[in-house]
Amino acid sequence: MSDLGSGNRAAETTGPKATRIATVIAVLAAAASLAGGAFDPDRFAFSYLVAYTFATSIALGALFWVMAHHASSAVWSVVVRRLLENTARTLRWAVLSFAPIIFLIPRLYAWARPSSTVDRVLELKRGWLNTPRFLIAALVCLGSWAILAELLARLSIEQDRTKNPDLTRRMRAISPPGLVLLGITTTIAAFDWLMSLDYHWYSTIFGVYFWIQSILAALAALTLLILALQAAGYLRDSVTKEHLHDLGKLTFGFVIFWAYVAFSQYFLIWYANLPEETAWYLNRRVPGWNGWNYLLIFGHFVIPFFVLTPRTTKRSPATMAGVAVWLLAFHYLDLYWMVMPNLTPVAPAISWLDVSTAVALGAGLVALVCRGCERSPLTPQGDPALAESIAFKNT
Amino acid sequence: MSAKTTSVSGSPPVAEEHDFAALTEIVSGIVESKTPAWWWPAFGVAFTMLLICGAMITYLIATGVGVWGLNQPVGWAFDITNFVFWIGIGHAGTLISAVLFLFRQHWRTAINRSAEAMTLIAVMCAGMFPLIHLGRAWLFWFLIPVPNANAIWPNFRSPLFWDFAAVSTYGTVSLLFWYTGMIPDLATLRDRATTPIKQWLFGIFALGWRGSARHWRHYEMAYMILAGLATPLVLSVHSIVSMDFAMANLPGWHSTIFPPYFVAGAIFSGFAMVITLLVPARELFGLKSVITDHHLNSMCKILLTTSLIVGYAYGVEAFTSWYSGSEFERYGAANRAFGFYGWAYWLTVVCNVFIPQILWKSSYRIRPWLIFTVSIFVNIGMWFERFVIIVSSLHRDFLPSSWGVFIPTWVDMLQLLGSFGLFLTMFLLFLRFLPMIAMSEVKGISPLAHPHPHAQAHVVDERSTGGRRGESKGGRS
Repeated sequence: MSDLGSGNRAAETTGPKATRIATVIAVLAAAASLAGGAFDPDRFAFSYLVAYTFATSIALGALFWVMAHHASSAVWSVVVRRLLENTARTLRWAVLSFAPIIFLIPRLYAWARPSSTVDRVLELKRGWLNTPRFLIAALVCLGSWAILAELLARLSIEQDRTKNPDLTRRMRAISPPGLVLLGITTTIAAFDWLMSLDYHWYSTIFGVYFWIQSILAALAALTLLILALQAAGYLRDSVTKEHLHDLGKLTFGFVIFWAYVAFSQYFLIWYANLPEETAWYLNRRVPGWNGWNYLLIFGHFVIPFFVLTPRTTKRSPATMAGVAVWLLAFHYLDLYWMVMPNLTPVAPAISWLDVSTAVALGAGLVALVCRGCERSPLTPQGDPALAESIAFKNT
Repeated sequence: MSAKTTSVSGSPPVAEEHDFAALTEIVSGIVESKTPAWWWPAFGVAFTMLLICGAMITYLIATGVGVWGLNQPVGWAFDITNFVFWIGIGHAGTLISAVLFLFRQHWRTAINRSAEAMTLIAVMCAGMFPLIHLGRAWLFWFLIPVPNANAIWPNFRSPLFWDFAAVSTYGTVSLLFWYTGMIPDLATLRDRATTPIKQWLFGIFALGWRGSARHWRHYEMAYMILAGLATPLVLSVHSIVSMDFAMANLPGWHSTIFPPYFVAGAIFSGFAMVITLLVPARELFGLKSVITDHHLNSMCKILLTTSLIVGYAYGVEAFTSWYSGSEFERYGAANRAFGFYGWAYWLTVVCNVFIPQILWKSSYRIRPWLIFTVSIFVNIGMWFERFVIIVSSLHRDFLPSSWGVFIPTWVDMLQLLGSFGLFLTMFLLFLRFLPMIAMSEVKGISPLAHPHPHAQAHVVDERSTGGRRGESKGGRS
């Protein structure tokens, strides 16, 4: 099977070591966060929400890519699909780690707090903004993601063993309706978890914004995972520069798409100048927060745009690793900018709880992905298009 | 999708029985042979409609825009609906030629030429409406930012001016793209020409193409650059068109999802029009071996995907207008669905969201006349979508004292019919006089162009998995 590259084995040696280290870090950080949370529960609630949406969005984006791969019958991406499946599979843990949010709802969401004054607008949308509905929606969203991710990963691993091409057909049959479901549930999750923090505010593009964030974050995480595995000696003759180049092109495209969506939202609200909509941006343009806007414009768009424009950077592992880390960092900062002005409206106040929650969930994600990588071959061995995917060239 | 789909998408985009010469013969034959019998009656009908178009414009300009059913508060109706409808149609051409090129979708080669021609003609149809709506159409050049004696500049902060800039850029790039791609084929027609006049005409437009390696190298590079330039235009033009509405604070117009939603809707309507044009064309010209089931299947998948995106936007719009808690937003949404024009809203939803869902069934995606019927519904639905957005939002102003109703006049109706006359006339002329299939590009993806020892193995792989081959003619970026 030498022509199927080095992906025919799992990360047996490096995997467990990485899993162990990441697990220890995650547990320590989680313990620290919980201890800190006992003293400052409000801060913990908001920090946790940022960290949770950060980690979950990466897995959610990975699920999108797995299904997009099947729905478009793509060949080039066969070789990276197992890594995406391993990432998406962590979504079942996202169901569990949603638990703290259940208890933090009144701290996070003003609509869930009892109030002495009557808010007429809130009364009009009570049908949506209430705790039971919020919890049921979260369960449906997270549950459907976890089931889809699990199903696709299991079929793929079964194919490793049986080499049955019918399994490819089954995965291709699941994916298009799966993408429809993902589109709807992601929008609901974005509206509930992030948009309803400021319950007066609404923006029809908000679901698309969160989806694009997730898709881009998953691409960056995938690039980083590939390069880390290659540094550890795996996948070196399966995932080639050609695949890296394609990942670079997609990253470039989604960096632009992120900017397009972010700009559409800002520009239309700014131009129409309706008070109920501009409030959201005005809260982020107070002197303390204003710098953050420029940080995002340059860090999330301008700099990666110019770095990724030339062909050479997209084919350079070192540059692509740098871009991936950079984009993941800015994805976190973007979520931070969406969430935190609700807690500290005057200016950002970085707390060690921000760091500890992000480390806890980030390291937890790493540990789970590494555990997936040590358990099954790093490329889908049974996929009939694997050899063709390895041989792929951008000519 | 069942096993059947995978076998369909696995069939190679070019039928294998054609060698290069046969392909040249099929495509050039359309232009060189005698005019087919059906062409003259079709042209007669289209040209009559075009004459109606001219007559309506003359009547309008001689009399004034009052001959349309416009009033207060509906100051824009059919004219802007037709503009958005036609400009949207154009987007499929650019998507097929530029975006699918960058995504290495080889099946695009059989349909890109005619889709690009459709784009250009649709831009012409679209461009007509804002001009004749100006009232004093002869002052249209005020839109162009030229310094003039009165120092009057267009309002740079107006989306209508951006529209003018976007559409004229779009028209220019589309023309260049279409023409650049056609040069090798024009040279083929020149070399096969039987009369000196044809030889001379095709010769001029073939720009001295000799097919040398150097020519091909420059050609491929130019094509790549133009594809790169055209790709942002697919997004920008309709985003700016959407801003004509979304910039306002009118409920039903002001919505942040409008830019991507309009772009998806444009691609949706454009693909529907490509299907409407090419299903009959491939029958009439006997091109079923070039525009194959593979193409129909792929186009239907794009149609279905964009239909779902458009459906998503309708859903998010309706939900958010309720969620906003704003009484104007809520009234606007309720009025759109159940008000005076409620029937048009439901017609839009049925045509654009419900009917295309039958394309989930893979065997339906290769039935030409079935998908032709679906495409007609989508054309109707997408026209009504714009009508609903524009008219149903305008006709209920914030103050009940300024409520009104728009009823189209016979001039409105005939002007719409006339724009189809312009479109069909130009398209029929294109089919008759220019190579409607990009011969050189189809040859480039045919199995004969890849004579390496493993070629057979790749084809087998493709068939068993439905995948596409990795090799690519272009795709560098």
